[in-house]
Amino acid sequence: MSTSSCCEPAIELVGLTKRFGATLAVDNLSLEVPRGSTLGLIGPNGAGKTTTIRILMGVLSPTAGDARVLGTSAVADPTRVKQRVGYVPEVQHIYRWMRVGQVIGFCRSLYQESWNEETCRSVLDLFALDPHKKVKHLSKGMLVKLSLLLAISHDPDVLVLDEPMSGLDPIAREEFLDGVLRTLCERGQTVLFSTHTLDDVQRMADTVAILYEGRLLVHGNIEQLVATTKRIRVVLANGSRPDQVPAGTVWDRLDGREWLLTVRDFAPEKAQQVRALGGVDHVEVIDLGLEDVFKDIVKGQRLKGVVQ
Amino acid sequence: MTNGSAMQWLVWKDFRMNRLIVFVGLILVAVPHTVALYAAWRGLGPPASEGVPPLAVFLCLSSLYGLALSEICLAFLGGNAIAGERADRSAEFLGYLPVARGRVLASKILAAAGIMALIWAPNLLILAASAWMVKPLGIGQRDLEFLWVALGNVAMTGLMFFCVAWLFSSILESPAIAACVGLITPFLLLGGLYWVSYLLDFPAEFNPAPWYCGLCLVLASLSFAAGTWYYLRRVEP
Repeated sequence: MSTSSCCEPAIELVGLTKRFGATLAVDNLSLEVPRGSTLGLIGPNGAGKTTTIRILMGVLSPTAGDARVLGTSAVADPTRVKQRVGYVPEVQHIYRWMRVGQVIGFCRSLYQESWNEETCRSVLDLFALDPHKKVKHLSKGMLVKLSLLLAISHDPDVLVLDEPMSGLDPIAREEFLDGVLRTLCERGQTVLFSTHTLDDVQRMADTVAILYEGRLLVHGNIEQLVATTKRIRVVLANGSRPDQVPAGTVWDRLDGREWLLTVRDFAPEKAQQVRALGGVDHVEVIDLGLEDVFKDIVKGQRLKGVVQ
Repeated sequence: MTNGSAMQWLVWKDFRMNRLIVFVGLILVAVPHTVALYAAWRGLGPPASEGVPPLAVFLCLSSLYGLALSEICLAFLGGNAIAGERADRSAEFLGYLPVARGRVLASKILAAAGIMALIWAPNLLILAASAWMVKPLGIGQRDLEFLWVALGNVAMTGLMFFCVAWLFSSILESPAIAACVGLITPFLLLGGLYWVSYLLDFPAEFNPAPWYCGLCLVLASLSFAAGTWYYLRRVEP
């Protein structure tokens, strides 16, 4: 169960499924995050990001499948997983009546030998957190920073961030990201973070996973995904949509004579295929950013759902 | 508190989370004694006899009342034990930390025991001292029996309060509901006992006290075991 070796992935989700009554929150999700890499988990609200993370953290049992961290099953041995993972949730539920110093002492006692006092002190200074201040008197930004301090002070092998920056002002966001990036640079930890801010994904992550209705739609290198996903703008002669669409089309929309297609695994031949379709006046290939790629993939799935 | 073992921190945290219950418990213990002191000051009650001041008699009785009143704290301690942290969602925070469920439960039990010791210790000391002072009045066998039965009922009711509330605390998210279920259980149990005695036409001299104590013990044991089992099995905080 806990056979950790250097070659196995830091995070491994195997056929992970979670049902809440009739709702399928996570649908047979399989995913691997190599050691030392950073994965951005993105998806619209209700995509199953938080559910996946909660299962990974051992606070939610899956209906089927397994979630492993460094070879340890979060289902079978959640306490061991928690020893090796630092976690920053979206909403902080730290004991509000405790002082910052007391929260740190409380967590230090639970992590025991793995607690790194030096890291704790340096992050405390970096974020200018007052140990004597009560948690209930901290601003949202400071609370998230405290949460990050607690998550990284035990030198975890894996850092999991679940939309920690939602609701933060730009300065607090920047300071939080600096703290995370500093940790990443210093220790080369594996990071999984979910967010709605795709700029953060592009800034921090090596790979991205797009979830939609509990299913994994895309998992891959960000640069490669952006480089191989293109929008094809087609001007049609008579405004009637051709019957055929190129392979790999994730989304398309017809607006008058303008036909927009977003195509994955783009190759110049695909543009040629479109040109070869009847009634095409003009074809133009447009580069996309990660945000557009994400939006088009999700919109395409929604349209599929409507059609079905 | 800045240093200490994990268990010390957990017990401290649980003690702090029940601070209001400690406060209420101390008030509930203090109220009968305050009434006793007031009655003695105003010269109410029988005159001193056999050299025993009326205050000693009053304090002896007020200690028993204090014990009976303050045992409702046990229901609130049981109810707040697990559901209290769910209600303010701090259970989520604890859930992400590497602490075994068994330790979490052990700290809650230790904290509850410590709190009841804190509330009851002064009261029991007053009871012992006042009982020693009223000794010259001569305590009969019937009085002693009454005292033991009363203390037994108080202890068993308190235990049942705690354990039934503990069970519901492990299942629910509301400490108030869990505590209330614990508080109404003795009434249901006594009502059930009288109903059974009426249906089965028990003799008029039927004494339900031993049955009540026995059933309290059984119900408390089952509730505690079920609540503990459920919390240990449950994955969610």
